[in-house]
Amino acid sequence: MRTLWILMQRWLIGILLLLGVNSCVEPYAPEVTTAANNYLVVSGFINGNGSTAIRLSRSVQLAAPATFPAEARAIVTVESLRGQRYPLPETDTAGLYRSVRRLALPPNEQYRLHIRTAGGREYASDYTLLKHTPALDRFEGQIQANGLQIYVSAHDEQAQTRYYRWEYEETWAFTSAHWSRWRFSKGTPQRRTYFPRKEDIYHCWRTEPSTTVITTSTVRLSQDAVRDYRLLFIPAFSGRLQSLYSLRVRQYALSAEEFDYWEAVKKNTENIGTLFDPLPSQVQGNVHSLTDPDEPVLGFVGATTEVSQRLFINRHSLPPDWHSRNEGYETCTETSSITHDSIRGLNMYEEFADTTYRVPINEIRTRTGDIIGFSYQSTACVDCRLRGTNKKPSFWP
Amino acid sequence: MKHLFSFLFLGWVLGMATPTRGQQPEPQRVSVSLQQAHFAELVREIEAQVPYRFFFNPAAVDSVVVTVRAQQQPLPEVLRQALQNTPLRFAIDAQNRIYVTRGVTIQTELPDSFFQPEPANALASSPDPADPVPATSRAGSTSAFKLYEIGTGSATGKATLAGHVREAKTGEPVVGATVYVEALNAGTSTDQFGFFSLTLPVGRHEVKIRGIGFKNTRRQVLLRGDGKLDIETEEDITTLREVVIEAEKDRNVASLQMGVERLDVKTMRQVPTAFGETDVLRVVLTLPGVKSVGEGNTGLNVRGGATDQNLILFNDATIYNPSHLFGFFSAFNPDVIKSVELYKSAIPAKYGGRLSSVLDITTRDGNKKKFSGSGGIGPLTSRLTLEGPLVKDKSSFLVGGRSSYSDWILHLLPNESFRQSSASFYDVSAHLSHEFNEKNTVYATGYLSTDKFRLASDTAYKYLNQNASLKWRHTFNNKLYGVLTGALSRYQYDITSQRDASVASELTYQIKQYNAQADFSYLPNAKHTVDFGVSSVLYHVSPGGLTPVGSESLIKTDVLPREQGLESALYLSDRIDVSPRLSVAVGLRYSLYNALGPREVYRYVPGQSKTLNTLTDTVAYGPGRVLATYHGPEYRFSARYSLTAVSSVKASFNRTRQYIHMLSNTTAMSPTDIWKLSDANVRPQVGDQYSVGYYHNFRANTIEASVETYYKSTKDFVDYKGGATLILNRHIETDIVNAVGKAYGVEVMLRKLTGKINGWVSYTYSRSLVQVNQGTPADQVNGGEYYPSNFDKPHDFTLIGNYRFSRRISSSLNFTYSTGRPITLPLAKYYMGSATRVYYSERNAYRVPDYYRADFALNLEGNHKVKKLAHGSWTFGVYNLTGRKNPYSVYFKSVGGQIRGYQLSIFGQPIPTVTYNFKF
Repeated sequence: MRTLWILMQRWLIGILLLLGVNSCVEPYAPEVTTAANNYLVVSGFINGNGSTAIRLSRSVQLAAPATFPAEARAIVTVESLRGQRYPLPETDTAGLYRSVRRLALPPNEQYRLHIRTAGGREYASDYTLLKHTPALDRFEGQIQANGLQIYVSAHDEQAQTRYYRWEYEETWAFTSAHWSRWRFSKGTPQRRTYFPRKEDIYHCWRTEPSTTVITTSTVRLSQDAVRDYRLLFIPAFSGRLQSLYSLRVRQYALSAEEFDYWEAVKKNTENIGTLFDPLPSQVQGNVHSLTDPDEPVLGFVGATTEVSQRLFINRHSLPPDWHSRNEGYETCTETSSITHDSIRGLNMYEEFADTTYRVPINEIRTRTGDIIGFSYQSTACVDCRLRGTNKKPSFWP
Repeated sequence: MKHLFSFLFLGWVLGMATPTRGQQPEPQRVSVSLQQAHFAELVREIEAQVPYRFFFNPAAVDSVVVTVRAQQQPLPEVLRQALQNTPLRFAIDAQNRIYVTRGVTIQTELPDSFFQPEPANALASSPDPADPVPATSRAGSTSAFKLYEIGTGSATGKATLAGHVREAKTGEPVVGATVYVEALNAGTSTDQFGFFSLTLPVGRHEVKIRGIGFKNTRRQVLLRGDGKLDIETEEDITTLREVVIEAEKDRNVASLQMGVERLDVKTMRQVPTAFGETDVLRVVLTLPGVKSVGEGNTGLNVRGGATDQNLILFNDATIYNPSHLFGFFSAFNPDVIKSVELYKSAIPAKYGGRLSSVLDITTRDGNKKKFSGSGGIGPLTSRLTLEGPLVKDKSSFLVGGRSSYSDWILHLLPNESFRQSSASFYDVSAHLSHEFNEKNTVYATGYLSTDKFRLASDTAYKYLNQNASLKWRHTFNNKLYGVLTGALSRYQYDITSQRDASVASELTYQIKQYNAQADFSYLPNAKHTVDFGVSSVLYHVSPGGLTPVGSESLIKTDVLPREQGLESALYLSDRIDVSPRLSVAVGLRYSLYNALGPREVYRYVPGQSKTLNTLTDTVAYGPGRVLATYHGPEYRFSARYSLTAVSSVKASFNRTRQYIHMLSNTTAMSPTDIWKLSDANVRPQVGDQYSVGYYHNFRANTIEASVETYYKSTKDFVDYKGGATLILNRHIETDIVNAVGKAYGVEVMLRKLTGKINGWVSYTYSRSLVQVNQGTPADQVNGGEYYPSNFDKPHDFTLIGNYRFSRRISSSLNFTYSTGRPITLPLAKYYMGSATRVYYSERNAYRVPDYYRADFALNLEGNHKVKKLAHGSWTFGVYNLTGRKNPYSVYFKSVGGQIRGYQLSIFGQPIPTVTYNFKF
């Protein structure tokens, strides 16, 4: 329904444009200066067959920088209704609590998360029945006219799942604009040494998690089957498709309550406040403060299992007329060069002193083979580590 | 200046003159000697000698020369001599006034036979001997000076005079005209059929008829017994005295009704709109106490009521979706509309079924005398209306249509997805009336409006209103008449989505309503006006159905069972004129609602929040079985006390009950909203309104001032739990909560009705608050405290000003300001699921920026020759003159993990429009 309204509004704006009416969108920043609102945020789920990881953090004001304080030194435990307890000790990352080994929780049992913060306040999620996530039937990309559509399919013959949620993680190989073969070391403005670069800062990998809530339900379908759900669309020009692209999807079965929760989160965050959209609401999760029932706690802790699968897409399997844009390097078209000529007062050692400003790419030699200078570009154009990592991921072929 | 009287004014003066036959003194003698002198010299000579004064039109005597020689001769003799060879004629009256006219002699006295009663036939068109205006009068049948004898009795006491007021040219009834006898301070106004009934003492009276759009007139009546007087009025073509809002001059103070606004179509045409289209609902929105959540939305919020609490009647048939194009247009063709009445308080007992207001839209009756048409060409739509007699003076038809041509524009666009899209709407109204005889008249109305959209060839959306009504009006006698009405209303929408073959589907919704009602008016004597009647409404709601489209679709057919309900009511009201100063209207309406089977009703654990977990039982009811019954009295009371001739105090109380609820969890009224009937789990809404007002007229009733205050409480209206699912929900009661509301406010209005500058200024302070506080915290909103409703806009200021440069050029300037509507704002952000997310404030805790807009329109009329092929007029308008970027909507989006707020202004710049209207 929502997309329908978006389309209709777009149509309406089109009509208005024809009539010479320019509707305009402007930023809107009301002065919401409210009291401190550092509510506890609980993120993660109780994994019935794997390692359970829970992240505790605090909310910040909208206007504040996007750094969310971690809630460290809390005591976090998974509890079953029958009284079984599974501690989740804090890891080296502050605010991240993880079971030491993979938990194989007995099915048909209800679980909850219990938290005692360093401040002594107690929180608990509602008991929820452990759900079992069915396998992925089909997870593949399909070439369309202007890009690659990734589909996911799943089903449950017992029709017990009904509510599905996915998360994905994209990883792709890319290169920076220029392959730097040299580097300068420290020294004086008169003389510093340069070496052939050993570390490859040209080939890198970038990984991005999904940021949207992806859920669907089969309640209105005659079978508990998701067929060709449109998980993700990659445009043909995307920099992700320049050599090898990998996508890992994680599938979760949800309870009806958790599904409603994610739907509400989705409604609230992705597009809110247009006249035809549902009213935003204070989304209530299933975590409550045991110390102060009025204290808002954000997050929903479900209990389910995880099914994941990885997909690789090679550039060679895609249409040859797809020209992927090297995202982030669009402006890095040309290189400049500096030659060292002490007679004319050109000192390349001085120019290359600031390694974050100029990075040498190729050497310039005289006919006799002496290096007299280097071509160069900015770090942002040369060092791919600024946009990813040059350490090959373990799963990469 | 004394010579500037023209003929026409003379006629009026004469009408007022007291006859003084036989008392004329001996004419005075004068001596004048002029040779080929200017007429003015004659005047000077005579006025210098005797105390007589001349009255003439200077233009008529301009080139006249006179020759006269007289010594101490009687004045008439001198004048006769002087004017004998000129086209001028003279007349002398008892007050020593000499009237000089060209060609025609003025009668300074009424003829002997004037006071001899003539047989009562008010419409006799014999030339009136007293009429001083020859030939130029178009009002051949408006005999303002003739004496009509009504009835045959000769007894003393009282008699009832009844009849119709009609327009002479078209034969259409004149609604809301005041018929009164000034000397007795007795009067009434015509109803929707132009009918009036006035009880007066037997004897001679001067009955005055006053109203808008026709020339005020009067009748001399000798009332001997009960009888009939039909009055034809002459159309006021020049619109010289056209006023902005229809009202009898003293209606503001003298009428009993409060909280009612009446607009006629001429008023509506003056108000500038975004697309140059005359728009009924948009003009209604400028009235005090009426608000909407934003521009581009025709959902009315009357005195803090929800958009579903308005009964919108189109010739007595209920309209469920009164808008086109998501609410940017109202779905009524201005050419067929006669007037719009909005009752905000003191709702007459005749009306029921909605809490906040009644918006009664009536069409014209069609020209009974000749075939004519009108139409307009605007930037987005064109319209054409045809009307004419079927049987002259007996029956007429009126057919109006309006259609958009946006489809054609869309297909010209370069963008492919636009070219594959289509969007169109149209509406058609048809009205027939037939007068079988004096006592029986039948009216039939049909109405159809449709909107269709297709977006990039995969989603199609359509909605449709269909209405029909049939009315039979029977006059039993002068004191009693009745109207029998049958009406049918249907509203439906369907959405087809074909983007994915596996989920291709069609979603449908439909509501049908069958009305039958009988209304009677009984006017036993001058002190009482009794209305009574009975009505019944049968509802059929198909709350939603999802069906697969195509063979690949996996969608399983899901059709919600049909809901049925029967709403019946009885009412009786009496308007009592206790004394000339005090009038009281008391009324009682008793309504009864039955939710009918076949239906499966879910039962929930009592006292618990209704959720699927608390569902305990399912009870099946057979066809026609009553599954829930609600009933209750609806009190209607109003009173008026005149403090002085120009000021009064009025008070009213009314209770209303509503058995049908609109479900919408969007802020605006949207076409996908669904209507739900009360049933075992959804109680009817009940509202009480108390209202007090003070009314004062200034400067001979040309300026009206009013202050009205109200307090309203409503209970059991529908609100939603967060993230409620409304479409295809088999247990909707688990997602809705019963809310309690209160609203209060003060409306101050100042209106100037006549003159070159006219218009109104209004200011409203009002609040509208909601409380959702039921047993369990899960069902509470904002912790069970009162919170502002979506349309709580405390301050509202409106100025509608018109300035007429000449008869052909007029302009209007509108100005409107209101507090921004409430909004739920994001308060905090947090990180979860790899993205920054938002935690929202309590519901409606903040407000969007204030709304402010100024519009301007210029109307150019063609020449005013009465007889010509077609009358055209141009309207040039600028909407949003200052280009203020009023937020149409405010929203927050997560863009790349960052939360940003945006404000969309649709009309964020001045929008010029041109419309051409014609009439033939």
